[in-house]
Amino acid sequence: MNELIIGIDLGTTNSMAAKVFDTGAEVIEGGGLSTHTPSVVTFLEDGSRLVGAAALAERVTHPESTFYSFKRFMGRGAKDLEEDLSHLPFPVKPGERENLLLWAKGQGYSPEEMSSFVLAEIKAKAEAILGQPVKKAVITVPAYFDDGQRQATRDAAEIAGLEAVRILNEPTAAAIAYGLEEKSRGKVVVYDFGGGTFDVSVLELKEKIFKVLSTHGDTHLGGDDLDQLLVDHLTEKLLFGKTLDPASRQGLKKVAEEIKIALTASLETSHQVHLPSLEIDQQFTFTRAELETAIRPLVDKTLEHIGLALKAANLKPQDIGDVVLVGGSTRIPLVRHLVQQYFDRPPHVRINPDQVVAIGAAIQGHLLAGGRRDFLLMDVIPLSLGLETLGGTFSKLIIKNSSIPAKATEIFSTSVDNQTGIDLNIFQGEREFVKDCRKLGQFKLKGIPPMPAGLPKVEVSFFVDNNGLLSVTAKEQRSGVTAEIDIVPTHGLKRSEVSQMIRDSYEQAESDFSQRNLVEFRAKAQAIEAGLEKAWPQAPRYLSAEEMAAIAAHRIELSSLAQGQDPGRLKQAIDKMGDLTRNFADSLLGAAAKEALSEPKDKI
Amino acid sequence: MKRSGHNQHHNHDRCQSCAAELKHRLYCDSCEKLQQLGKGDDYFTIFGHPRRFAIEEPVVDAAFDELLLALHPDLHATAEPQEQALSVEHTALLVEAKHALFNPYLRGKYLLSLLAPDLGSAAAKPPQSFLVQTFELQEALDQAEAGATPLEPTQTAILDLQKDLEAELNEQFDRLTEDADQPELVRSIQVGLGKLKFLLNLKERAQELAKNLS
Repeated sequence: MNELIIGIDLGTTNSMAAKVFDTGAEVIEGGGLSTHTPSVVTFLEDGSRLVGAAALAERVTHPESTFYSFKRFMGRGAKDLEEDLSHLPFPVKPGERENLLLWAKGQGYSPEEMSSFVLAEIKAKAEAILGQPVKKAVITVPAYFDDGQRQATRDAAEIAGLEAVRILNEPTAAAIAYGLEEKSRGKVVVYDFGGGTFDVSVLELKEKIFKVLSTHGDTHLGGDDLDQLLVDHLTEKLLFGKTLDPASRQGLKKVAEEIKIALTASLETSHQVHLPSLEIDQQFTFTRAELETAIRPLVDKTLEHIGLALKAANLKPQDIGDVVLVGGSTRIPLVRHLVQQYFDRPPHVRINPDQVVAIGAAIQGHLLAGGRRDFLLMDVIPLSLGLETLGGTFSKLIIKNSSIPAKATEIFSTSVDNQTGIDLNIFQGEREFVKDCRKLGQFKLKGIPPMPAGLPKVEVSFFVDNNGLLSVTAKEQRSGVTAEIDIVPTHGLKRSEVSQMIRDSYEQAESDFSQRNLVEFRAKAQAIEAGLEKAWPQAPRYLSAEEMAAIAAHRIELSSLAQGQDPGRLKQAIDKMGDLTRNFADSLLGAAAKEALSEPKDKI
Repeated sequence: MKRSGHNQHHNHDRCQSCAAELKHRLYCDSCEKLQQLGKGDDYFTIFGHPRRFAIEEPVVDAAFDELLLALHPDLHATAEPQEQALSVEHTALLVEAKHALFNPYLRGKYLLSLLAPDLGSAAAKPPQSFLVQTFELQEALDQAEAGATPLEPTQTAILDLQKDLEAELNEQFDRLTEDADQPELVRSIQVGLGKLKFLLNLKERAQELAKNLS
């Protein structure tokens, strides 16, 4: 039996897991549970933490401590965020290195940690549904994620107790699902417009080899930005430019999301806007035309990226055989229309744009587990990698859109006698000067044997693996000594920090688990109460006075425990209620069945 | 990759694991084990292509796909660590080799390093006459960029010149043997490679212009 490697789509807005079952690749769900998890984390007053749908439900009541879209902060620094950080309802502040921390209840959390909470939740649900441990996953990232952002994703997985055996590009994942499902071959464009990021990849699907030819995108262009445009528009139109407090901003964002969805099917939508803190409570109408005018500039930007990707692949729109749409934002009619216009052909929409990435990741996971050999993926590095050389120029070593795994070698030497170390500043980007590129980090080579300046020949090999991650090895050729390399990442977590977070997460796991159970049990208790409420008028027919008294007393007890914090006692109370009401339920069921069976035969 | 002291093309090597006859350098068809690279291996031998300047791209293309399906690390993800490491190395090598072979300048540079390994640099500065010859082409590109003249004739001229240069290099490389001392021939090749490098830069500029103008 092959080992289990699931696929996880860790999205800006929504995440989910998929697996290849005997019947094919599907999202992991079952028994009322689903790995579909909104990428949202809330911290409540009592210090407990909610993840997913439960957290999403709190965003208007707890705007300052409900965190979302933290994927946008992975591997980023304050300088990188074009949007005004004050737009966000929750506090985001620069960390000690050029990273960002999200502050809740007096503690700063890295985006990696936030993502790890979502991954841990998915892992737990997957294990519950599949009934087996889940340790390995293929995790998807936007194709345009740089080395730092990919590393952060891998760290997030590690903190959550998952090994990310592959970091896979989202459009490529979609292409896998599409290529194997539709069995079409030729040149394909994947247009991936998600919650926070935009990618377009050009692929060539041959008989067995799926090769990425080029990729282009923007890790800061997604549904969130469309929402922001709508919120701005609504602020203008309804609030005459008033400044928004966090709760109102969240309220408006929710309205914007609902409008977007409503106008997918309709040309016009009527909506109630209730913003108590601004004393606004009114109905208004919004048309599809208004929506399209508001979002058109951003959609046009995505078309520019298509052009750049095609150029890089030396192709024209007419060379493309199929266009695959991925991501929730591709449901918007304007987007579909413009993409169709661009390629002069209708885009492929049969595969669910929300699930296709997770499905593709699951298929790749299945292949890596040795479960299949019917295709092979050749991806590319999205951004050039290189070094800082004299005068602050960026010297490219591995060019963007090169196939991976990729290797480049450079020879360095020392400038001072007996110099035993060399520092290399590594950057990623396309500009001429390093100041315009992203610094990945500093590689400190150590252990060069002491020699006169200029004599050592240090051969440095830069290697980009299938994850798009860089590793560096160095050997001094004269002595054959392998130099040690210390990596100081610019934005990410140091290895020691990741280890600490893993330790912390084990401790939290206990309380997390209780928290999750508490939420589930509360829901169950509510359902029982609702059922009893409805059926109680019939109780005297089937129950004795003593039985009724016992149930009535326990109802109060159950209700009180459901508002408490002890999942263990709540579960016990639920079980006890089950015992107390079993006869009642059986009788009710029996009566209903009897009634159904006694129907005159000709009424079937 | 350095060349070995001997020019044997080891066409009938034996598998390092099962001793079956090897059809490819990098893996065994019989037992599917990956092979360590040997002294006689270079970008040409791994594709089973003769070691010469003129290249048959379809041959390399087909060999690349076939080798990739046998070597790629994704298909060895459950193998032992040594096999996995070897598959990663070989795949990176395949990618690197194909890239070098498909670029005439890189290919020539590489071939020269195989046949005359102790040279300082592969390319020499193009002679003044060549720079004068290509000056017109540069001016034509400037004018095309300004929109004054069409681009295609210049692109055609560049391609024609490239064809001539490559034909000349091909003939020179054919005459170059590994053991004979042929300093003038090597010098001519170096100059030829210098010209080719220069021309390819011009060609790239023309291609960029073509994309931007369309």
